[in-house]
Amino acid sequence: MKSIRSVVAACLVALPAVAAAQGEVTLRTGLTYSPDPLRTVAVLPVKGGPHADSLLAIVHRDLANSDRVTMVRLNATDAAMFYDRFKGVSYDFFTGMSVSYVIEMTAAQGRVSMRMHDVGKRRVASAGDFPLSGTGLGRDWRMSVHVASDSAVAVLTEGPRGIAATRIAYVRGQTLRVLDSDGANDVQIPADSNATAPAWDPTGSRLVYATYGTHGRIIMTETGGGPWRVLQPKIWNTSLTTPVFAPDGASVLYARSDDDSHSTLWRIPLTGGDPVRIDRGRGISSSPSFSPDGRRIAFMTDRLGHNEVYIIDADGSNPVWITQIAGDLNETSYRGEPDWSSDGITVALQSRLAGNFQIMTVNMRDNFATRLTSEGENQSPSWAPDGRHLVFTSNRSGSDQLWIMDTRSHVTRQLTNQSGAKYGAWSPRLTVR
Amino acid sequence: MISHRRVAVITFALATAVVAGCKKTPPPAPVVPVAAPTINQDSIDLDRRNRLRADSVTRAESARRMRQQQVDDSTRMANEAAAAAARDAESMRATIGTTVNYEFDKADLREDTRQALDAKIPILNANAALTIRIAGHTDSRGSGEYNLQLGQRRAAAARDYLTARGVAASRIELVSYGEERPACQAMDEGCWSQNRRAEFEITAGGSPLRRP
Repeated sequence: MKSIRSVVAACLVALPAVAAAQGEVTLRTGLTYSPDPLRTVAVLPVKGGPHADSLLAIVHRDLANSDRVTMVRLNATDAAMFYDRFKGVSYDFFTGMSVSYVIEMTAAQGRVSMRMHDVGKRRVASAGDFPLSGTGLGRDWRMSVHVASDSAVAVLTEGPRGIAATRIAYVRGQTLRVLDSDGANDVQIPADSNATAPAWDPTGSRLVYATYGTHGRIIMTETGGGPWRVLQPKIWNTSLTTPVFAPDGASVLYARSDDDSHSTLWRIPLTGGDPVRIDRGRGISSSPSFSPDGRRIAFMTDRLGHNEVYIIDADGSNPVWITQIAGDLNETSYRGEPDWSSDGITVALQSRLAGNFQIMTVNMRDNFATRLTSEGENQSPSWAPDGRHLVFTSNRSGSDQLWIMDTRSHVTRQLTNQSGAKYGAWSPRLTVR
Repeated sequence: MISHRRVAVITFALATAVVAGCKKTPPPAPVVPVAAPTINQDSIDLDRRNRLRADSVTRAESARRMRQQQVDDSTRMANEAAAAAARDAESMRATIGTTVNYEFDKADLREDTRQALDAKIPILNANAALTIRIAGHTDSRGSGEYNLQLGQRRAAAARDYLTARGVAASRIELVSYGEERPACQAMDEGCWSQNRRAEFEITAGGSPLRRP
């Protein structure tokens, strides 16, 4: 668990000299200045039942993983001190512990109620009841608890909800898989063989993926099981790769090789209808990612002779090179696999620096690029719905695994530990039915 | 042929004349007749028949050995021809199946790749029913998503070399495995260079293979 954090004032270092030319991006180093200290939060032992201990553990971990509060772990043997003689939460005790918020939960069958105490103001700041679906400790049940945690984060930070109620799709070996964002419930999704590059639809209920080899095609599947739907069947001598849903969920964009061994971006409507080529660039185009309003597409292309990230309008016009990074261009440049955050602000990508791939972001507002990793090889970033965390593939532990990073604090945690995990894709916020 | 009996009579007659010609000689000693040799014609005939039979058995045996020798010879020659043809076909299949390699992040054909492709062309030309599949692969560095298309480009580059030299494009299937099917796992250039490859597989018409 993280130690109590102090304010980090960082230096903003822009590379000198060049008044940025049209389209040029400046590489920024150092941490982002973060003016507000993280609030310190404690979760009381859960009252009632069933599964009180699990509720406590899941909520505590969700809040820690948000990287937006500092968690204090309470000692169960001190329980007598948590409450005053009127059986209310002891604000004096928690003031003495420098805790700003205390979460009090009571569990009953099928629901949990949560009260958030503002220690400084000595009162309950927020209260809510949250339904818990499915069998206790099951996959749906855990997701329901995550929904409660995410609401707590919104109250505790007076900001956006947390992202615990999400999942990450990925490929391990020959299997297509989905696991909860806290690492639990790693399950295989029934899929065609040779699956790659899964992507979520905006509702979080479907995945689209591409298969390679002699029967390569684009397939859509419900994450809850059921028959697949082949969106683009096998085409003779053609590779179909990297499909993504458009933000309106009505079409899928993917890369398709041409007969002269280049590849371009094509779009197929889900209502049926012919696929349409939307990009006419030279070279290999691949790995598209929509802006959240669906109007533009970031993608990787080797039309310059080496891989770079470009943006085009949704109809394929107005190509703009967004990784033209001042002072960092040379023949070994290799940048790709962009992912556009759902707040539209940042495109994450992988970039080869000093021989190894690192995760880099380009801020679409101020044209600054930031390098996020430095250890091992780091590839394939995918944003969480908070536009702040991302999942990526790293071999820093000795084999390819999925890792999660908070791009504000650079706090990083390992998500998978069975080797060979790649093509991670973070879901939208999920609802539990 | 004077028979033995007549010879015996003549001898006896001559012997008597010689004795009669001598005057007042003492009376000749009594002539004891020499027994004439017995002619066993049956034995002669049997011996001759046996010799004839032995000759014909020997001839038959000799002829049989010669025929067997001819059969053995032609079987052996057929086997040797078949073995040579099998080695030939195996060698041709191996030539078709030779893997070619590429430089990092490139689909350009190196000189050794061109030579390997050149060797496949006569076999393709001599076997009109022969169809092949070219599978493009990459090493594990770089973007996995890009590598799926780079593998396609590598397979297509090899295919284009063959079609530019007269092989019909419809006979060549292209697939890409990107970085997903490495031939080796080590994280070093020795392994990476092996993984950057196009593999060739006969999909139909490979049996029998005729020599160019």
